[in-house]
Amino acid sequence: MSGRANIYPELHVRSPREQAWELFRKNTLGMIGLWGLGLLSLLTLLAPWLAPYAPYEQFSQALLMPPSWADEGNIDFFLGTDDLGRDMLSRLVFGARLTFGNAVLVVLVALLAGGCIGIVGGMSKGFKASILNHFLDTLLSIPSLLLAIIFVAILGPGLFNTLIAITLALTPQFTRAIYNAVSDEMQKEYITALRLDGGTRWRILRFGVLPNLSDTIVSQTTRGLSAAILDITAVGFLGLGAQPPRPEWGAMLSDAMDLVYLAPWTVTLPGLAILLSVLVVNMVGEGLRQAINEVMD
Amino acid sequence: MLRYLLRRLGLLLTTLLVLTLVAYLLEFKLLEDAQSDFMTGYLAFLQQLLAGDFGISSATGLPVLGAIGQYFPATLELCLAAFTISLLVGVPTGTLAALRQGRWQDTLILTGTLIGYSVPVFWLGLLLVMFFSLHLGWLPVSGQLSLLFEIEQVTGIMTIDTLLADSQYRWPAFLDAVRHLILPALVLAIVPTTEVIRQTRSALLEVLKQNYIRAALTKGFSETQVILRHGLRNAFPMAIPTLGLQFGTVLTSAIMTEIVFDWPGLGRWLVSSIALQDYAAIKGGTLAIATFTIVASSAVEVLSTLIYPARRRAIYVRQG
Repeated sequence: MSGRANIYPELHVRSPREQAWELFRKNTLGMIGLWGLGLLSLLTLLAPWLAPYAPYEQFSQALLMPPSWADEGNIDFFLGTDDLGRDMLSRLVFGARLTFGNAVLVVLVALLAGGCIGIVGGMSKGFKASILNHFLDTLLSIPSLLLAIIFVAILGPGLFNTLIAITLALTPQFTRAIYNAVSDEMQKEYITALRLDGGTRWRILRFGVLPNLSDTIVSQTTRGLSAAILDITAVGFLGLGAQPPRPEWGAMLSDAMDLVYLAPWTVTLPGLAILLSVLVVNMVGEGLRQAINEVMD
Repeated sequence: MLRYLLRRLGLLLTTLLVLTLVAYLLEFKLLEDAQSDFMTGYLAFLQQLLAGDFGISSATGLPVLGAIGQYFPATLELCLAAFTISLLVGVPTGTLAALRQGRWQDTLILTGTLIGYSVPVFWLGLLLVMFFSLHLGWLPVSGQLSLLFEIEQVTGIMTIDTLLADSQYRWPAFLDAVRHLILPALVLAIVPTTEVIRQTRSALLEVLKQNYIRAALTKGFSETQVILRHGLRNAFPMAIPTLGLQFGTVLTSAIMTEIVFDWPGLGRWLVSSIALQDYAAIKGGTLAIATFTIVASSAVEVLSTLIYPARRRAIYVRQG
């Protein structure tokens, strides 16, 4: 509240969101995660300007060059090259677009679709809600990766189909979370008060329900994002997602599986990239959940 | 109680029905010409399934059901081993974390679970193969049993089959099967272990706040006694249903693990069928995996409700 003079001698009561942010800032792991997530987003956005080479450029004089800190390494190829002489660092940087960038897209679409269905379902009662409930339970009992594999099997392999499949597989989770949050919210007394005031459904939604959904949305989004990254790379690894020359991290890994003994870095590095990006997302998610829970208590 | 069981059964059957619908859509898409209309085709398809006819694999020319029966035990063996490991490791670790809540042991364990939860299963498998099999040479790289042994398939679960085998090499074969099992089972156990740790920890923390714990402590029982008799016993019913949901996750991780370790299970077969566009096999495989997941998680939920009176009461209250 700086900059604005507080003319009333009142205590400024901080909103739950401010309190949660204060708590989150004290959480070291969470903040590290947030910085990591920021860096990863920058990397995704600025990939063409940050990567030293093009992802498909082949250097025939530098096949399977180890990372620069090894004895035979060369600083020109900081993380070494693969069996076709392509620079690992550039491929990983561009891979951030395919893996992390696509995961963000998938989660946004799933959030939008799942959110709409969840809100409509949560605000209605009786038969419609019950059908939705059972249908969601069905879909949720199948893990998202298996669902994604089934959809890819129907749609056919390929990156675009994988993204559709993973969106379809993640949507039920978002619907379920938002549905639960909305129907919990609908039980509360201030909603009854709004209804008794003659508020329309839209008004109840806008002023009663939506402002209280942000916690659910935030925690579900981080959970969905880490699942999306793992699923995209897993499908890529199975050879059903992005096809080999593309530097999707999972596809890079499966491509390099034969090189495990000869050039371990071609296997370790893409996996490390996946691990780190999932880890920062989970760190942020965990920190936010803790902070929100503490504020709620 | 009967009402609850019937409801559960109804839900299970609906779920399976929706599954068959998805599987049928897969076939419907394949028969693009679709001579019959949707509904009659679906009913005929259901009849076929009920008669145990899963179709003929276009890759091998053999019935799909037979292939499922052949590959399933290996997957089951892997999953059971992973579950055993995760319980053996997870429960004590989770208990330790709960008892040292907020101290460094707790932080360490929680950070560990966060990492375990984030690691891609297939990559971890490759790393372990690189280190233990290629670098140190302690454990075999892949497969279920060394090719030197010839073991007749009885149950399909190799560790049992080797013991049942009527040969003088029974014991070495068993040890070899176990050595093959260690790495994949460890890799597969990572995700459920983190879940067991988290669930045990949070359930135990909830239980330790209760008055009967304090009462038992004031009576003069030692901490260990209280934790074992009152703490964990009351924490399990809370944790078990969520663990039942882990079946699905384990089974999908098993697909990745089987690929990495060349384990002759259902997952590897399914993925290779997708690559071969063997639709009958894809349909049968996904149906088998999904059915197993759903039945197993429902069974865990029903069992935990039957065993623990407190959960039973919760249902009656909800039904009103």
